[in-house]
Amino acid sequence: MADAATNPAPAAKGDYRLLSVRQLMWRKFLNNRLAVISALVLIVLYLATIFAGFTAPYGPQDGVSRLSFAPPTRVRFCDENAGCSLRPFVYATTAERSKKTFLLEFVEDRSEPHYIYFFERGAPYKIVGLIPWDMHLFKTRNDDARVSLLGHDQRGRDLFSRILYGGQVSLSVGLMGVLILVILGSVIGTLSGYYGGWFDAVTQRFIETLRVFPEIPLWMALSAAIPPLWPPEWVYAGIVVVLAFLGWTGLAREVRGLTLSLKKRDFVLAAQASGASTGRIVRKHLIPNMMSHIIVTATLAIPVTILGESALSFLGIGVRPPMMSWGLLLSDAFKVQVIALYPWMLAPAGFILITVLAFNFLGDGLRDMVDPFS
Amino acid sequence: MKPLLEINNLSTHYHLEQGLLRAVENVSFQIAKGETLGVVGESGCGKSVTARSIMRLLPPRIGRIAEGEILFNGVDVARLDPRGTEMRDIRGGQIGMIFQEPMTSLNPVHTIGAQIVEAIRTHSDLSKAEAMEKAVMLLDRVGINQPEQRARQYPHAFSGGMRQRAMIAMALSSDPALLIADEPTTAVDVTVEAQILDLIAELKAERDMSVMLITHDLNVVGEVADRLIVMYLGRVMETTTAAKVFDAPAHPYTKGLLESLPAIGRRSRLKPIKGSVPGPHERPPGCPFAPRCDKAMAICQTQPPTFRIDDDTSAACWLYDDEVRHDG
Amino acid sequence: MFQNKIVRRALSTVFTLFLISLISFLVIQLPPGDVVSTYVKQQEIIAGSRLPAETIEYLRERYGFGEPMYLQYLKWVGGFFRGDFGFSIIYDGAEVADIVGRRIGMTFLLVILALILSWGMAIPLGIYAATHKNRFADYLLSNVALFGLSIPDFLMAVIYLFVAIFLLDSNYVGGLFSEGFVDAPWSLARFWDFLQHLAVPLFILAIGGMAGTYRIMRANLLDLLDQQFVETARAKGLKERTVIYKHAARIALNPLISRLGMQLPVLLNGTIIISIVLDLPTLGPPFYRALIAQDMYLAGTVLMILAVTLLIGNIIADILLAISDPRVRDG
Repeated sequence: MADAATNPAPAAKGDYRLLSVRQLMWRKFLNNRLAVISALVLIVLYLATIFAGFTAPYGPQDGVSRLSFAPPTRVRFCDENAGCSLRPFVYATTAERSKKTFLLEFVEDRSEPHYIYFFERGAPYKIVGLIPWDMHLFKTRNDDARVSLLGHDQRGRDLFSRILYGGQVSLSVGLMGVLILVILGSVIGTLSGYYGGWFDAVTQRFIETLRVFPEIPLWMALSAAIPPLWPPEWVYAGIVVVLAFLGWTGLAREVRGLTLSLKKRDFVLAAQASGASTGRIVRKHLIPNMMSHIIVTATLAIPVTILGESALSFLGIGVRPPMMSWGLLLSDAFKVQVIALYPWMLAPAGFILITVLAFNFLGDGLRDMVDPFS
Repeated sequence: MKPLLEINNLSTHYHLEQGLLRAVENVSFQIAKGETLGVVGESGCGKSVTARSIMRLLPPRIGRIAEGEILFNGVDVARLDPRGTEMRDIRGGQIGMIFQEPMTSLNPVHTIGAQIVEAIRTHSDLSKAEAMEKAVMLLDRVGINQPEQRARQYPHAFSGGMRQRAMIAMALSSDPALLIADEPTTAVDVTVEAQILDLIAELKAERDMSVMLITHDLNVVGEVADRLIVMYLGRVMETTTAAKVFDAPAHPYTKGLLESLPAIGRRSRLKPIKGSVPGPHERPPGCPFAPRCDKAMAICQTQPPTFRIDDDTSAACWLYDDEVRHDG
Repeated sequence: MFQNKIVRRALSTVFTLFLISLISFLVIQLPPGDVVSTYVKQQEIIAGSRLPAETIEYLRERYGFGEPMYLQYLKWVGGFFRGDFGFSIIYDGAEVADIVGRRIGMTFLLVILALILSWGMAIPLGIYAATHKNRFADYLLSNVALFGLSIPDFLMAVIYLFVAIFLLDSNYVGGLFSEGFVDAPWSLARFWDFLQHLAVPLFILAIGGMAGTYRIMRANLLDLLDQQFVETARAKGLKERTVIYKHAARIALNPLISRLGMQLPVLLNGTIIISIVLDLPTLGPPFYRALIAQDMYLAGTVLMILAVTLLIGNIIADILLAISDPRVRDG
């Protein structure tokens, strides 16, 4: 919308010559259907996890012990007695001991439908940890008949709610890690490309060395060194730093290469000749010209970081309870009998997969977009 | 005597995303045995596409011969399967070809010798050693010093002129009856250009070979060609001899080309042809040159046929139509 | 010129080795407390016995505990030349060199087999896609490749476990040998058993490595097929197959070789993590256990060995590239 306002004469359809570079890029991006869908998916995921208190029907630690490993509740529209309605409902889940195997089996109590209401008051929470509220996107009015889209874990907690809360860590680790990575990578890369000399030689050697270390084992080693008694926030910060510690090298190399080629270009030489300060040249000429590359690299680094956190937490050397992340939730499933009996416990894997795919498709789309004339 | 190559009404189309491109339209010409034919025109005029049609090297699924025949030694090349054995025997065996960019025409990871040997062995039963012997002889013949050592080197050790010589050696390795040279001197220095043109002329005389020399430079044609055709936007504008083209150009386009050409001893200012070559999808309906032509008439909105002017010369221009001339 | 380059390369390699050992040493020193104290404490808890004072004193002396950091580092590095990489707590004081030595072969066997498998799949597919550009198969392959690139190895291993439990003979899930074959000498039956265990982990690894290789192969070949020398080759009358394989695909391999330095660590990552999930006898499981138990000599040494091997891999890749590409060799 803002673009249309700044361009009073919208270009005729099909006449590409009248479009600005930015419009060309935007068009190219919109033409890449996969990238657009991915962007939308990511927006939904981020919003849903940021406002997990609202989107999750139950609290992350709110467990009902009789619902240990209870399967997902089926959302229904038709009841034998009450007939069909547009309002979805669930039946209460009750545990019965099987007469044959003596194992607990879960059955639906069909005596009474429990309707799902939207924008329903329930357990209190704080929006983004600040503003207290108690509105939930959807839930039943009867806490004995809970709606659980993805089943329950060992302690009878709603997995769907836990995944939304866990996403707060999983999804933010990627962004935070990449933020550090971008700052480190672009600053070191620019300096080393612009000044060259011993600084460049030393950083290049250091980067080369870091890059011969296999990523995951080094992450594991550094992450395992985070003291187990640290408070959760510190552990979180520690993991972000560990993940960013290796990622910046790739970006730094790329930025260095770009700087090397840019600093020989006429407009930079002209700026130097007219006495512009180094800081000004970097800010006004180098950074803007590298921005698109940095954004693409950053976008593609986010899924790597998210996967790193998932892998570490999955292995038990990442975030620790009571914090939650998708990798940690997945590690609950990782016992042979759990996977075999309670397959819904694998649901966090699906969320990791969708997020990583979406970021990769988005990054691919952005890369094509940056090169609008190709 | 029957000509070595006879092209009748050749049309080659490119099926591009943006639409159909008529790269070559209704082109006819002949090359006699031992003759050098110059094909002249600006870039995009269809001369390279004509050469690729003869070689059947059009990009698959995009470029197609839509109409016409290409008779080479009496065989209609246009009817052959471009990847079939017959065509592969002709391509490289009976027709050799060299290209514009000597720097990129040779494969960087195979030695010069190996690349020539490959060409020889594709079209003969020589052993590797015999083929190598022949390759070294050829390199020697095209003027490369120390051919034995040079044959063992990779292209990046060769200068542009030397690479073009090596390309010529490779193209001649199977003693072809026709050599197609597609702008062989465009990318090399002027001094090297003269040497290469001389070399081609020498080799042609030595082997009684025919040459189809594609160029945008009329001066080049004047030096080595016997006859020439002038092409514009996929059509032949004029067919003439090298002797006549400078003195009595028939087609207004040929005249325009000559006037835009610097020549020794000429005093008058260079006169470029007005306007520019229209884009590939903006072809004028009638005579393609009409929009840029000084002598354009109303009738030029329809495509002129080819008018015979004398034994050697013909032109596709309404000026040579008797009725038009009398009316005007 | 050429000699100079080798000398410079050798010097920079030595310096990189030094940095690798420094970072590994740092990893060893990161957890609070020294390794000997951890060992002593662990022996007390598990075995309920105190280590003899001489043993403790010997270990302290051997690794220089209590002395300044740089001396400890020098003692540690000095040990390498005697084959001494420290001792392991979780393996009850066993030599790290022995533990690593027994498993390193299997680790790199997996990496190399996965590399061969991924190239074996990616190169023909890349050639096919490039020579059938913009057709349905090309679109399909390219999107599947991006998908394959996105699925992390450890998730694939988890999903595989899940599928295996329902569909497959669970005898072949986890480990590389069936029970009866673990310590048996090599025989045809043992080898067959080994292959059956190996198939899925290898495939998981190869899929991850394949996607990137495929994309690069396709892009390179598309570039190369537009090059003049490919048309020269056609103009010689060569068969289309010869043109594509000998003149274009052959060169498209060079960037793959130069990318080996990036691909090997990725495969190694996958191997380590899959080994942990599926319990394969590579360096993965002991490394993981060592980290959990803060058995730092073992963990740090494994890390260092992995890095050094990758460094060697890089050098081999450079040599291969020089053999394969005359421009690199002479330039």
